[in-house]
Amino acid sequence: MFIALKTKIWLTVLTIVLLFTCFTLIYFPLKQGESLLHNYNNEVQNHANTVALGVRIALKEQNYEGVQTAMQFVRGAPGFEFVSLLQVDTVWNEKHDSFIIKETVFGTYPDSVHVKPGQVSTDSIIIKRAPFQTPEMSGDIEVGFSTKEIIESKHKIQRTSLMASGGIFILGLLISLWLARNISVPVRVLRDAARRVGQGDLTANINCISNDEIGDLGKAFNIMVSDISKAREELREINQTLSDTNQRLNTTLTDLKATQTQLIHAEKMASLGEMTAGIAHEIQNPLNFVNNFSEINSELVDELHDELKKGDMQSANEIARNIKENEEKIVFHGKRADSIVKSMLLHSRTGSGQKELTDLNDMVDEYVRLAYHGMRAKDKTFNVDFKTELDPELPKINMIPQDIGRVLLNLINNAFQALNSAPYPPEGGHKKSPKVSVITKHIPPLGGRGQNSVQISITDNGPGIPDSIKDKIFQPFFTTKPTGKGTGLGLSLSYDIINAHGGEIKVDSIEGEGTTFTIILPV
Amino acid sequence: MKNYEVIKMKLSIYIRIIFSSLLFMSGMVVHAQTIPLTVISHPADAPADLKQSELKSILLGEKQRWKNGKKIEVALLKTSTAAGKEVCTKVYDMSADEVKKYWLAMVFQGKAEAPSFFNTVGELQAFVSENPGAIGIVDQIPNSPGIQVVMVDGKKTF
Repeated sequence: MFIALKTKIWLTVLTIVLLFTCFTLIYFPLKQGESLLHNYNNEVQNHANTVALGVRIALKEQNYEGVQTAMQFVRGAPGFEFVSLLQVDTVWNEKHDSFIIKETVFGTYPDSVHVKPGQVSTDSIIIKRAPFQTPEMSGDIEVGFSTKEIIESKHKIQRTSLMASGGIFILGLLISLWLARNISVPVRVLRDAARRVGQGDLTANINCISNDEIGDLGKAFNIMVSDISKAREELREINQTLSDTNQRLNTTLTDLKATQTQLIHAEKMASLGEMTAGIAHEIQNPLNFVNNFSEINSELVDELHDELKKGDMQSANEIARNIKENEEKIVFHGKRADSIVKSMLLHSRTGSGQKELTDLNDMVDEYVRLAYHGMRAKDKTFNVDFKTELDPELPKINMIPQDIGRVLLNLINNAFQALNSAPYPPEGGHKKSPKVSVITKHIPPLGGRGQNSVQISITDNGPGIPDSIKDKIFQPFFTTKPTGKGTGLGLSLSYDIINAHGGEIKVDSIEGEGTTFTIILPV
Repeated sequence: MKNYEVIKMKLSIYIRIIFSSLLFMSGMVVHAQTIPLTVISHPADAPADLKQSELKSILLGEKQRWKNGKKIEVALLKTSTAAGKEVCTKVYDMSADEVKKYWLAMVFQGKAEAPSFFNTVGELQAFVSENPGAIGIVDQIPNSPGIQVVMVDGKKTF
């Protein structure tokens, strides 16, 4: 339940005022009345005692000044009703064996009051007795005082209390108003300012007039708002900086993406270049055949015309048969060139192809040769003993051929390059015969469970990969080749392609002995 | 032997009774002796002679002012003195206790101021001589300039 501060102040002060009012209106007059009555009783008793003492002195010493003074004092006291001297006598019976105490009124002032022995106090009168005893007389002084004075005093106290309570109540109201004005109003101003700050208005400022905690709070609030404003300004500047940085990063990212695309393209072109060299070499042979046989056929056609002019049909037929054989060879080598060109086109296509069942063995065989001839095209001295062990039971794989072909070409090229760049053997040593083997293997599921897969291992006996860079070779742009010779994306792209096919690629290498890249692809 | 002791005891009792009776009778004789009393006053306000009834009225507190309006101040010897007792008998016709109670009642009821009681005649005379309007009773005729003897029914003593 929400109770406003103003209400709380009002309730608090009102409670205090009511409690105090109850105290001054009820408790205080009650206690005052009791105290007055008690004191009045004591006073009346003192009057009785004084008169009794005067009587005792008067009878014993015949000095009546004391009793006269006491009587004057008692008679003049406010509320005086009467003073009476009761004589107490012991009255024996005739046999003198029992007695009674007889109490008679010896004298009363004023005479008009008829005092009876044994009177007691009532609400309207207080009666007190004081004994005296002399040889001449024994008895009691009984004085009666009206409680009218007390009652009037009580009423006076009540009236005073009522006025005091009223005054206190009005004072309480004024204090409440003052407190509400000095506490509630500033707090409300503070609350409104806080709300405005919450809504984003940092110009909210409080005019701190009071020199107290609330004033301090207001000052602290102003400082806080100022700090928030500064912080927001700083934040805005930081945000601006971040925005600028973000903009630059976006630009950089765009540039990087473009660069990446260019690099990928460059990588592709690099591999294409390497492959083209092989292809060129591969095409060169069939083209030579085509050219040579075409030239031979041209000459044979001339000879055929001559023989036909001569009418030597047997020779003509022989020449025509040779022409046909040559033509067949031209067709064969033309198709061979066509196949090579198609492979090149296949490799150069962008990687948005569809998966299709592909004979991996054929692909491996083709790309090994392409890579080899590519190396040979660049370096006529390059020679390597390469062999393929292709599992005849290898099932066809559902894959994107150009992507997997790119991986194979990249790994085989790496193997050839590693052998080609191998340092000379130490003095007195023998250079190893460079070897590359590509092995395909069908891996059935273990225990008949799981999935069929194929494994392609590309092994070279080159210098191997140092342990320090083994973890980095699949990172994009990491390369050990000289600047401009490699993009550092070959293995990274290979890794991504194999992953995209649900397979895995791993490397085992011993420095100085060789490296084996193993690809496992699910069937 | 036994009769002798009884007679001796009876004789002793008789002797005691007789002795006591003699003592009582001698007391009666002493008590029966009257002391002449003299009324004295301050010469300023009191009259030179008074009637017995006037004196009694003054001593009872019934008359409290002289004819000139001066307040009468009564001085008496305490009732424990012989003269005081004589005053009780002759003037008040009361016993000493009755006089005490009388004045207690008067004072108590605010009807009169009680007399001043003194132990000796000298003190009483000194009081009378020092207070105009004072009147007192002594058992000897004074011879002092500040005191006058008031005649009662034409007598110096009564």
